[in-house]
Amino acid sequence: MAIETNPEFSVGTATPIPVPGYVFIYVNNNSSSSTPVYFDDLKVTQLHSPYVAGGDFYPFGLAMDDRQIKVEPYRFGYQGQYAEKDSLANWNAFQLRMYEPRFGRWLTVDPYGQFDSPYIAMGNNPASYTDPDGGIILPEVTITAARGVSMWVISVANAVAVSLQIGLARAGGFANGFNVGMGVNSSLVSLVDPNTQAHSAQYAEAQAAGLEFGQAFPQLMMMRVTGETMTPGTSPMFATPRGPVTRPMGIPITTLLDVHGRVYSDNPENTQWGWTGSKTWKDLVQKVKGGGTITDLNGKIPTKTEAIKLIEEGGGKVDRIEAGHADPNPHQYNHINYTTNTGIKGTIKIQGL
Amino acid sequence: MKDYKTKINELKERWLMMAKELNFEIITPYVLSHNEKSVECFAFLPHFGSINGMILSIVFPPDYETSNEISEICRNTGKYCSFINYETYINSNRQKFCETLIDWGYFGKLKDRPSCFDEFVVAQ
Repeated sequence: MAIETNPEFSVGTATPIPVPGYVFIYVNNNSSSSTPVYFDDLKVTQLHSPYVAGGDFYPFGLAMDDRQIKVEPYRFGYQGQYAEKDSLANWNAFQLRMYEPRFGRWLTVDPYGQFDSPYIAMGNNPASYTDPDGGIILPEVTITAARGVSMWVISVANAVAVSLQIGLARAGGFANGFNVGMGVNSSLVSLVDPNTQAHSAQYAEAQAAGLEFGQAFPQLMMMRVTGETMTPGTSPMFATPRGPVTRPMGIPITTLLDVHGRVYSDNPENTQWGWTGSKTWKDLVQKVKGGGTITDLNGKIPTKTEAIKLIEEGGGKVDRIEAGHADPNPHQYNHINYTTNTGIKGTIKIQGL
Repeated sequence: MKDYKTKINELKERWLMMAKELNFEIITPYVLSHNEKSVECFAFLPHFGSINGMILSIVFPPDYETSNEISEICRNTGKYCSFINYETYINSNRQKFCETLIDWGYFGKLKDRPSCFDEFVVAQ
């Protein structure tokens, strides 16, 4: 019997995932023979993306939906200070003015009166100019045909290995999709001048991390680095159960990235606390393993299914599923009585029977 | 692999044996009725759970599927309801049964209360 695979993907080798979305994996017996076919040990491994923050923007700075990676918080974006939201108005606060990327207009007048209209941004020409603080526009010297801007931040651990991809992915990036790793400006990280610009602390941080810098371009975005160590190629994030697998699995890539790509679970399910297998989930398993009366987990009441999964993952056993007791029993709410693997008794409040 | 009926019968025997040993009343099987609705349950304990007694129903891993119908009738008739895990109670000893009864609470006449209520302190 021939084993057919989707030509876009291959068995046993890594398949790049160029766009955020869902992965559907299935094993299907298309043979006309009546002989049963057994699939064993199917394993799907997703390697950790080196990017911890990034996104694509429209020319005037409007962030593209579903094309953002937010594994780690990062306040700098379009033009260097973009994405810092005003807490009251939820506007984009630059150093001198608030900015509205949907219109491509500043919301207050230009303090320098550079143009006839005091509200236009980047001289109405974001491909050629930048306006990093809401004051005087600056010429964009390296990019002449930019239609969009992408920014990527990667971990220090991967910086050496993929140093040519550090920095800014610019013109042409968004036209071809998500373009993980694509960087037109791919020589070295370019940052603001540490002596003249406001980002000297971040510059020092990046320099201390061992990153090199090329020519200082004030219009480029600040790079934030993280000290987390990640080893590309050895961090599996998802594996299917051992044995025959015929069910399709849908996993939003962005969700996996949100938990640092370290989801590792035999039977992943999405819960109120994120995917099973995440660190948060494992912490909850440990809590349940301790027994006692649990009325909430991180402020949330588990469903019956979630509670049973937590109990069983900790090696415990369900004893009874019950409605609220009458007085004087303190468990006057829907709950599960269980026994841990060490014989400790516990009770978890659940949403319903 | 035991079928469902065999499992229920085994558990029934276990509960009847413990009822005799611990001296409490149990009716098994039991037909629960309310407003022309009736459903057969695993057992009825007239002196535990509430002043109207309690219904026992069985759940099995991995789904632990509970019956909404039983819950609803119990709620409407003022009875307490517990869905017990077959796998736990088929292998439980006297102590486990005592702890369970104590957790449910005794609502019958004090003189008929099982003596195990004086023997154990429930931890949960």
